[in-house]
Amino acid sequence: MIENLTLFLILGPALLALVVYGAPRRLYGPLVVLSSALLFSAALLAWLLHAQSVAIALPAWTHAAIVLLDFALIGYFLWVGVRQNHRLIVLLALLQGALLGWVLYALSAAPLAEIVVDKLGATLWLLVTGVGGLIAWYAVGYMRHESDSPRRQQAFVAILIAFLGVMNALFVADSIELFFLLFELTTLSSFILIGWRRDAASRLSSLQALWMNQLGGVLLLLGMGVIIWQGAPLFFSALLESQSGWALGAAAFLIAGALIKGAQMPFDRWLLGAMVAPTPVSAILHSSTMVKIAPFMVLKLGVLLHGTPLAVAVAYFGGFVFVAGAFVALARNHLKEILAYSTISLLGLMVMLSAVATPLALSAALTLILFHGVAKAMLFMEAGVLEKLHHAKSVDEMGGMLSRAPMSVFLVLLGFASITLPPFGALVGKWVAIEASAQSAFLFLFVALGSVVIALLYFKVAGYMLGKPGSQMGLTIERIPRVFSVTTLLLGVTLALSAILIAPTLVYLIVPAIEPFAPGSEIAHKGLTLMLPSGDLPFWQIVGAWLLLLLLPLAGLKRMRRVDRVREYSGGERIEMQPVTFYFPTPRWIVRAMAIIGAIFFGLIVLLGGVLWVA
Amino acid sequence: MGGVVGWLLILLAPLIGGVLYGMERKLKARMQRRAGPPLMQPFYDFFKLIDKRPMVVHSLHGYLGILHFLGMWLALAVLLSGGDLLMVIFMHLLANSFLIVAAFSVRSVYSQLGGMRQLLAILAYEPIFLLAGVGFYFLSGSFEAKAVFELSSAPLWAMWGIVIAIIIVMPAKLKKSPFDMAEAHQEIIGGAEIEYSGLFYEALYTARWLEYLFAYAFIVLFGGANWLLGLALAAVVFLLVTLVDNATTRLNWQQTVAITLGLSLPLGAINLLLIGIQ
Repeated sequence: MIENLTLFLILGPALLALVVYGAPRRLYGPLVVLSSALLFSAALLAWLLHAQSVAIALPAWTHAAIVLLDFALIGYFLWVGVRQNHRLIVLLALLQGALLGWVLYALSAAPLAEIVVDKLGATLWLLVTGVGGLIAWYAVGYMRHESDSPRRQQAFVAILIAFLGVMNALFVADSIELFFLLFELTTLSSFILIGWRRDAASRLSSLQALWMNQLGGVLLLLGMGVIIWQGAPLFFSALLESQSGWALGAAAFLIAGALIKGAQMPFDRWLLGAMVAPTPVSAILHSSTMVKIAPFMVLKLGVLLHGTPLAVAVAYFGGFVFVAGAFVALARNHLKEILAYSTISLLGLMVMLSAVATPLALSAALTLILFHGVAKAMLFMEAGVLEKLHHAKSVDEMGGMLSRAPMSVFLVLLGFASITLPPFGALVGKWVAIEASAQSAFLFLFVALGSVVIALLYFKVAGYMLGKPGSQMGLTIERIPRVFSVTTLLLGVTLALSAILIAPTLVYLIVPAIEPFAPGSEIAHKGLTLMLPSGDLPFWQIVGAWLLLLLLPLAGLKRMRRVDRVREYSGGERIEMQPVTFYFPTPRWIVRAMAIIGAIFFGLIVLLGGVLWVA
Repeated sequence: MGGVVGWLLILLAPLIGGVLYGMERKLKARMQRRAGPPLMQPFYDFFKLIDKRPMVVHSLHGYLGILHFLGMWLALAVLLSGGDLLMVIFMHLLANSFLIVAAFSVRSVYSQLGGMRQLLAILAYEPIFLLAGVGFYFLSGSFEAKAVFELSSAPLWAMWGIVIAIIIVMPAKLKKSPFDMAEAHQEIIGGAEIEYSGLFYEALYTARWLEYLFAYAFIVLFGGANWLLGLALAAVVFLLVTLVDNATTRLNWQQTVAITLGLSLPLGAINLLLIGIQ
C-alpha cells in the first residue's frame, strides 16, 4: 500500500500536471482542486498507514533514465548560459558535467533501494501536498490577474503541481544520485518560474538564481565524489552508518550545497531576486517547501555530525544567519522582501537546530519547518492578494490597509502572530529551540536576539497596516474572490487549531518523525498540557493565550454600545494624520560585513569538508 | 512558588500590585522632598476612573486595552504558578503586543510613536530576560520558576552579571527614566496610553500595577529558596530604580538600545559562560 501511495505521490503530480495543462478552460480550475485533494489524501493516508521505513528498489533501467535526465538538465543549463552569454553558468554547467561524468565512471552498482520512505519523509509529504496543493489552487485565481494567455496560465499551474512530485521524491530519496537529479530539477523549477514574467528584471534574477543553485549542485557532486573516491555506496543510509572522517567530509559538501538552496548568506541574493516572480512561486518554492531542503539535509545528516567541529560550524552559521537575516529584513520596505529575508533568517534557525542534533533540537527544527511552512505560505498568499486586489506591494502603500482590507490584514496579523506569539506552533518551536540549545550558551544568544528582532520586524509592519482607520472605524469585511479566501482561510484555521492542540500535535506529528533516528526527545503530553524534560506548558496557559488571541478578531467586529466616541488628541491643532513608522536603514558596510561573515562560515564548512576528507 | 500560596497571590495580584505602585509613588515623592499621595492613592484613582463617562476612539481600541490587562495577568499567573520562565517572557510579549496593536490603531502621532518605541523597548530588555531564564536553567537544570525556588544556594551569587544586566534594563521594562522613551510624558504624552480614558484607561492602569509586580517578582527569583534574600534584593532594586528615575533624563531609542544591549548583553553572556565553565 505504502509503495503504491509513494509511486502516486512521486509520479502522480507529473501526470496530473499534464491533465491540468491539457484540460479545457472551464474544467481546469476544478481539476486543480481535485488534484490537490487527491495528492493530500494520498499523503495523509501514507502518513496514517506508515508504521516503519519502507524501502523501494527501482528497476535497473531507471538508473539509465536518471543519468540521461541529469545530462539533459546540465545540457539545458549550458544552452541557457551560451544563449544568455553568461560565462559563469557555462562554466558551472561544464564543471557539473565533468564531475558527474567522473562520479558515474567510478560508480559501482550497490544493492540498495533508491527510495526509503521513513516517517520524516511521510510527515514532510503532508507539508508539500497540503500547503503546495492549496497554493496550486490559489494560483488558479492569481494567474487570472496576470496578462498571460489562458494556455500559459494553465502551464504555470501545471508546473507547480508537477513540482510537488519532485519535492515528494526528494524527501524520501535514499540514493544520493537520485537526490542530485531532484535537486537539479528544483533548480530548473526556480529558474523557469523566476523568469516567468519574461521582463528584464525576471531574466536577471532567474540567471542569478540559476548560477547560485548550480554551485549548490557542484558542491553536491563534490560530496558524491568523496563517497565514490572511498568506494562506498552512494546512499544516505550507507553514509549515515559509516563512522570515518571521509563521511563527514562528504556530509560537509552535501550540506554546503543544500545551504545554497536555502539561500543562507552570502547566497541570500538569489532568493531576494526570486520575488519578481508571480507570488504563488514565492509561496511554494521560496518559502514553504523548496528552501526547506537546507534544514532537511542538515536534519538528515545531523546524527552523523553530532559532536563534531563540522556540527559546531554549521550551528553557528545558522545562528548567525538567523540574527543577520532578521536585521537586514528590518531595513526592507517591500512586503515580499521582508517575508523573504525573514524566511532566510528562520531557515538559519532551523539549520542551527538541526546541527545541534539532540533529539529535542531536531524536534524543534521539524516543528519550525512545518509551522513556518504553513505560516509563510499564508503570508505570501496574502501579499499576493494585497498586490492584486489593492495594488500595494511596498509597506509604504499599506498604511491603514485595515480599513480597506480587514480580512487580509487579519490573516497577515495571524501569520505574524503565529511566528512570534504563544501558543502558536512556530513560537512553541522557538521555545523548544531555546530549551534545546541552552546547553551551549552562545547558540542560545542567537535565538534570543533573533526572535526579538523578528518580533520587532513583524509588529512594525503589522502596526503600519493598522495605521489609518481612526475614529470612523466601522469595519466591513471586503469582498475577496472565493479562491483566495478559501485557500488562505484553510491555512489560517490550520494555524489556529494546531495552536490550541499544540501538545498532541507535537507528540503525534513531530515526535514519531524524529524518534526513529534520534530517540529520546522526551516530549510528552497529558491532555492539552505539553511536557518537556526542562519545563511544562500547562493547558491553562495554552488555552488562556489562545482565547485572548481569539477575542481579538471578535472584538474587532463587536461594536461597543452606550460608550461615547471621541476624537484623538492633537494638542488642539488640526493635523492631517498620516500613518508613521520607523525606518531602520542598515548601513551598507553592515550588510557587506554580514555577507563576508556568512562567506567565511560557508568557506569554513567547505574547507572542513576538504580537511575531513583528507584526514 | 506554586501551590495554594501561588494561586492566592495570582488572585490578589492587582491588589498587591496597586499597593506596590502606591509605595513607588510615595517613595518617589519623598526623594523629591514632597509629601506624596497616600499609599492607597492608586485605588482611589481606580474608583474615580471607573466613575468617569466611558469614551473610546473606536471599539477595538477599547477592547485591546482590556486584553492587554488580561494578558498581563496571564503572564503574571504563569510566573507565580511556578511556570516555565521562557513562557513567562513570551506571555509578557503577548500582553504587550495587544497594547502595541492598539497604539497603532488610532489616528494619533503620539500613540503610534509610542507603539513603535514600545517595540524598541522590548528589543532592549527582552533578550536579557531570556538570558536570565537560561541562567536559572544552568543552575537548577529546569526552566521552571518552581525549580528556582528550591535552589538552596541563592542564584544571586552565581548570576551576579545577569542581576546587574537586569537592573540595567529594569527602567526600560517599567518605563522609567532614563529609558522611558515609550511613555515620555513631556514629549509624546504617554505614547500608547494617550487615547485611553475612564474605564479603559483603568485597564491599562491596573495592567501597570501587574507589570510592577511581574518585574519585581522576577527579581525575587534571584534569592532561590531564600526568598527573604530575594525580597531584600527586590527592595534594593526598587529603591535603585526609583532613584535613577528621579536623577536621570530621558535618552532616545538609539541610546537606549545601544546602552541596554551593548552593556548588559555582553555582561550577561560572560556571566553565563562562567557558570557554564563551572
